Amino acid sequence: MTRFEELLEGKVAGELSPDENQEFSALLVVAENRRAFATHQQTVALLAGVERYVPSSSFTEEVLARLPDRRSRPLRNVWDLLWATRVMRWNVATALALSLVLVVTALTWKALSGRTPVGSERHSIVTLFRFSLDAPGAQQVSLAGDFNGWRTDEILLADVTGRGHFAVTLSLKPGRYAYMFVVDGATWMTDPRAEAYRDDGFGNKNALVNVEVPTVADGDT
Amino acid sequence: MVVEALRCNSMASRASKEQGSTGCQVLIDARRESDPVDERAIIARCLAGERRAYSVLVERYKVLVHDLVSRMLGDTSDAEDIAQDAFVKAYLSLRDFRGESRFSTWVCRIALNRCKDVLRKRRRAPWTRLRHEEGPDVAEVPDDQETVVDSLERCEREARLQRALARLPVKYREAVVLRHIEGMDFHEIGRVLAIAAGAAKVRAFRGREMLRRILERDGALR
Repeated sequence: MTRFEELLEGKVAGELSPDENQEFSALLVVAENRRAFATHQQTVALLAGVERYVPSSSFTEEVLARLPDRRSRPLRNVWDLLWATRVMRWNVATALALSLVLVVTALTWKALSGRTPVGSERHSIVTLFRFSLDAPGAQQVSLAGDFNGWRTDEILLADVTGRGHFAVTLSLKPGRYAYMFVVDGATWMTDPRAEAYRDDGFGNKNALVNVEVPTVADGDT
Repeated sequence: MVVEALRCNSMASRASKEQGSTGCQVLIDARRESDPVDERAIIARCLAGERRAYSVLVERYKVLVHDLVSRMLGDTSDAEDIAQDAFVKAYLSLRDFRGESRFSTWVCRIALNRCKDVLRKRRRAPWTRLRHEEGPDVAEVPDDQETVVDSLERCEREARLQRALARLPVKYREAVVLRHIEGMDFHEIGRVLAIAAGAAKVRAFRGREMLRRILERDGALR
């Protein structure tokens, strides 16, 4: 602001000291300054004389109606906390940190999930295994082995064709089992189609079946 | 032009009817009642959940805020809603009010920020202004003390002034309105606009200088 403008502003506000008033009067000798002062005064008068826009008579009541209830309501506060929309401010560092957290979480999850389910499957998954023996003329064929404590009267094979082809299906957990067929309750017979054998200590060979972890769901001896 | 003048007249007559005095007097009375200590007590009651206590503050400053918003936007159609909005926002932020300035300063700042948002939107979509130019109060009767001609002349003057104000850049318009219409001192204007008192003084002067030139060109000044 020029000196004249400063004094003009002071004059309009009625804040000039006697000295400043004198200085201002001296500047008014210039016609341009006189005109500026006169029109500024008119402008100020015009501004000061305007009527105020008055709000409606219901203004205050309408404001009060729009106010929320401030009384403390814990549940309401929790609800607001959960559902209130928020503006998230991002920067590269935040994005990198969040990405790191997500990667670590994913890797940890993968590592944990790689162990637990398989371990539980090992305990819960069983394999259906079909044992069969051709014994034409036999009346009864049973199966005895590690899986049933070598009891001879527990697992009976059925002659499904009526032509001496006896068979039974067992559900076995993963493991290696030795077994023998017992024909007519007296004759112990080794499975001729077993995948492996081992000595039974009585001069015969026990058949062996190896039940793998879940790759083979069904088998037939 | 005539429509604007009559609409302006309706505002003046409504002011007189509802307040029993002119708006200027209302403002002066409101300012005289303004007491920061009293305000802090009212605000404490509001924060304690007593919503009715807030009506004291709204009553005290509604003319100031409503007029400020009307002058800034150049019309009254949205002013009521925006002024109410400013009071609601101020209420919602009462906990943040530290009492370093008057409540009026604070609510004026909120109202001005809201006005700037509206003006920014209008600049992007100027056709929305059309809606604001519908005047519902054309048939209002002028004051008893004033002849119809006087009333039309006065309102035409005000309409010219309002149009001239609307042509000022916002930062000068707000300084001129706060200084010369709302009657604030430069310290208070500085607090409302978040600038130094000296800067407020310069803005008010520059704004008035621009306004003076516009009015001169329009033939409103002799």
